[in-house]
Amino acid sequence: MADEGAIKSREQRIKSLLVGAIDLHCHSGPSIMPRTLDHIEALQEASAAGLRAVLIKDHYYSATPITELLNKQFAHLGVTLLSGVPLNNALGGFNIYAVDHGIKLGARMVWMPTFTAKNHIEANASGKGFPQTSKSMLAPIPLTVLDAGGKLIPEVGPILDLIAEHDVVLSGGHLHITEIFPLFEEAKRRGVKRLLVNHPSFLIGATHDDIRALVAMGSYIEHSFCLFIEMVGRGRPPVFPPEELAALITAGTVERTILASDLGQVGNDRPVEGFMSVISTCIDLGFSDEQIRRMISLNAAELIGLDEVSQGAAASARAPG
Amino acid sequence: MRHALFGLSALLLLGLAVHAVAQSQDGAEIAWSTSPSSIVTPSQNIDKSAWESHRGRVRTPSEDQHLVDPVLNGAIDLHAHFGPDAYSRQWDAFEIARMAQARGMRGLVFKNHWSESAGIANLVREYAAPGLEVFGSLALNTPEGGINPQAVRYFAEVEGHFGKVVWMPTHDAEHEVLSRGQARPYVRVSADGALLPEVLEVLDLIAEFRLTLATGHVTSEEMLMIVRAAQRRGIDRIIMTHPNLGPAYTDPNMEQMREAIAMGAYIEVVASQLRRAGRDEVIAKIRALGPEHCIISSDSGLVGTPNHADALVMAARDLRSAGFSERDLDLMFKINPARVLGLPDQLGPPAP
Repeated sequence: MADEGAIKSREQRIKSLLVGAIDLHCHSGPSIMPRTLDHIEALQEASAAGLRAVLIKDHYYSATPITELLNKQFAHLGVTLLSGVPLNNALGGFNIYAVDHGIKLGARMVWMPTFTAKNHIEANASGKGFPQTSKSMLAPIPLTVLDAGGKLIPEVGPILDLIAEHDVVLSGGHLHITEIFPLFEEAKRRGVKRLLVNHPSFLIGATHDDIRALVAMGSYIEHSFCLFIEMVGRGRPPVFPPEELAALITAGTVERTILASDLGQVGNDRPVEGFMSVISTCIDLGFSDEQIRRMISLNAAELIGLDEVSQGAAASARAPG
Repeated sequence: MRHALFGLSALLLLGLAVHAVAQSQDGAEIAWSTSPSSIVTPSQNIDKSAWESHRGRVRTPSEDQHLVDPVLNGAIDLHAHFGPDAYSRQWDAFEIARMAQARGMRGLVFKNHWSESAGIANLVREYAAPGLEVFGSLALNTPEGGINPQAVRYFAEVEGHFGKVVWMPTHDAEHEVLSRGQARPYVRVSADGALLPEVLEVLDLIAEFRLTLATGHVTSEEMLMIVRAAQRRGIDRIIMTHPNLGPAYTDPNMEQMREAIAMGAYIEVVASQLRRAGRDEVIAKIRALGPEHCIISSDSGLVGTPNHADALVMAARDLRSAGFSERDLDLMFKINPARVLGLPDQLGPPAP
């Protein structure tokens, strides 16, 4: 009986932590990758669990027209959908006009190249096992922010200026850590304030010391928690042990760590299920409720400027025309 | 300001300020291998973008007139603008789809100048108007990377395969930007009288994935080069984008239109062309070219325009009173749009 009571109170603890959570990395569809849920299902499930916001990430398209449409059509669900501009080949690579248009529509993040990053392509060729598109696409044009001499290529500077001017988030995408450091230094020099590194321990090549250095630069560190939880639906143990996540959090600090799902792939658990698993993992690792809330909600809200976004949306709803 | 603009545009037209290699905003030369090669940025980007140059135009929203006409039963609007967009649209994609379905229409192609709509078409079919044949489109303007084969390949693959129409550059076409005397980035489709290799690659993809080609806002000569190259690749779904809507768009003469028609292109007439100065000329051209080669689309969506169904009905009534038969109207509103999308002929709305 005591066990049952303990299980129940743990479930309640997990569910109450879910309320107000923010998923900064949701791979819902439609997409060209096989997805287990679409954007509207992601929105509905997030709403049912009490999440505050979901940021949709597609590697091939700028999803902001869709998130703005759904924020209007599904306003009653009470979840803010966000998105951004992924600078892969399908949007022209380092294409400032894609960034300009995305921001005009409300994009809150600009991802440096992900699937068509030179680093991603090389890592995939050596068998990193990233999800693939359903059918083969055109051969990617590998993208890197550095020229042969290790200096930033000129296309990047004006893009950083635009990110700074509109105060949106710069994500390092799938660039290698050796590209991210010079990129972020230049970004800061040009006034970019919101910096994010996605899954630094996976594909990016960042050590714990690198993570400390990124945090010292003012960057937030996002871990794709799908890598550290059991996939309940298919009984697959975590890809990396939870202790590794704990060590990464220690390196990056609770104050600068964001846990986001990176879920949506067919066969994997759905994002909300994943959130329940990662909260459970964090409880087992000894994190307090306050610390967990920081990592699954408050840090993300600060990075994205979510309170400002909400105010902006309210203001534009009042504005005539 | 006007003089400065004119001066710069004159320079652009003379080719003095524009090079094949563009410059970034801080003046450095861009190596185009990793960024769009068909986009040209003027040394001074005064007008910024087509939506910025739209800024400040405030209009009163139009009223829904609820017009009813048999022409709507089975109609497909190949040119349906929707929100969200970078400039104000009166209705969003869900609202337009529901309205079209309620009015008995068979389908819609969503058009946005700056971002593709294959994913939106998918969501609209499932959540807004199940049964309506909704498709997305892609316009090869600057935000998509200009003439970007990778964008087309992606677009053809989006879940549901509702990505259908590929527009050559529209508001960002070199022809439109320079003929309006604007100083803002533009997309080239040709250089030295020949299509860019990227254009040919895009046409290869349109042929391979059985997409529909719309010619955009290019010059008449470029339009013909594109249609010829398309025909050589076996592309038989071609829309000549609203010829003679104005000099900033494709503005061919009758001979050029006949040449494109002979290669299988349909002539798109947008509803507003029948309600403005020059309408008699447009009607005479439809008659001369033949309704079997023409398509009427709404091009509606801007704040203040009649909604898509109302616009189609008004166009149909104008054409009817000009003497076109019901069969002619079926061709221009229903049959030709279906054929150019590769859909089976069907005269009524889909069975419930």
